[in-house]
Amino acid sequence: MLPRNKIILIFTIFFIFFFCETLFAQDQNFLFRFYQEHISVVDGNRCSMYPSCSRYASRVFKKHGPVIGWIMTCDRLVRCGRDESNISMKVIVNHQELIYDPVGANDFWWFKKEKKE
Amino acid sequence: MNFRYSYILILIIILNQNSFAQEKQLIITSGMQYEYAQKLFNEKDYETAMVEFKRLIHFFPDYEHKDQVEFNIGICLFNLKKYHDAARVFNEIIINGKENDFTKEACFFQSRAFMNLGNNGYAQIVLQNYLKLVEDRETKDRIYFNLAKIHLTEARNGKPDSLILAREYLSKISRSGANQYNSDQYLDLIIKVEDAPKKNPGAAGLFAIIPGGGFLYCERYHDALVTFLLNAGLIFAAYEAYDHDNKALAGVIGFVETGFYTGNIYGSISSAHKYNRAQTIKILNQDFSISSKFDLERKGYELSFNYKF
Repeated sequence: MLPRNKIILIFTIFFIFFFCETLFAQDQNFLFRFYQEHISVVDGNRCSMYPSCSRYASRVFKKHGPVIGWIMTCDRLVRCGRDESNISMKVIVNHQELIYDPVGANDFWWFKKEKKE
Repeated sequence: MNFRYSYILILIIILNQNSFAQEKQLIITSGMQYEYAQKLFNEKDYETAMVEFKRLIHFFPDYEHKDQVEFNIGICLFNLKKYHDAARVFNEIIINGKENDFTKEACFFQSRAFMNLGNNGYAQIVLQNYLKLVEDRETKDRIYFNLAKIHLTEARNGKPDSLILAREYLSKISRSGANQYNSDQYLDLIIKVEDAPKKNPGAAGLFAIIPGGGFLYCERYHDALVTFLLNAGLIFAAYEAYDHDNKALAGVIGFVETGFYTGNIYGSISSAHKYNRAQTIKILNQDFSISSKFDLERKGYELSFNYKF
């Protein structure tokens, strides 16, 4: 029989996972919406990437779920600006040159190779 | 006397009017209409030429060169950059299934129209379907070359495996076709891309065990430094929190750190793939460009290449 604290821990992990899964599966979940509408507008949008890191996180959570979403978001936060400009395309958005780095540019290597004819 | 003169004068006027009216009468034949439309087409007034070609089909639905007229309407739309409409017109020609040069050219032009619309998938399907129907070597070579061209374009846009497919199609071209399309140059270009210095994604992931090592391997020095400092800071903070018996804080920091650490490994692998893709795009953009056009005046299809040695 498992000790009581371990059972609680397992239930907690399961609850967090289930919570995250339902939360991030939404089209535009409230955490990112809250950040974009109430924090980013006051703090100022300084992200040099397109889509911005918050929008990227929102999309990646929706596309890959909470676990991979969290990993890819952390990766993006580290890469934001700097060296990414050497290998990625630039786009002009609102008269501002930004580095184009959508989710597809970071998970393209996951997908299976095309069948040869 | 006066009456006689007046009579003669009236007679002259009537006769003159009659001959004048005869001069004004003009019957436009299908040939004349076609010549006029073709003249406008040759003058590259595609908008008007298209109207005249349509008029020709409307008034002469049984015109003997109807196939060419329909094809020319498609070309007019293509040159007017109305690719969607052009593809539709070419599709009608293909569906009619007449075995002539216009059906053949319609396939190639429909493929190009789809390419210009950014739909390379449809562009390939059109050619692959046509490939199943043709038997002559020359047309097959042309299809192979066009398919290779589509895949090279996709490789320039960073689509994986496009180079392999481009090479496959180029290698299917016959010897005479290879000389005609200079396909050997493109095979050399593909080899050049494949031989370009690449980063091994597995090695990048392995180096990333030390935070920032993978980015360092992929020549992303700033990212490597940031990753190293961030991870080191978070690990130290988690350790300190745990050491000061603040296990809850240590757990939260540990959770955040886990994301950044795994993100560092993921980012390193991803960066290696992106580096390789960027190398491919760079070489292809430097060395290769293709443009093609259909010359109706000379009744021929032209392909022009730019290849830097």
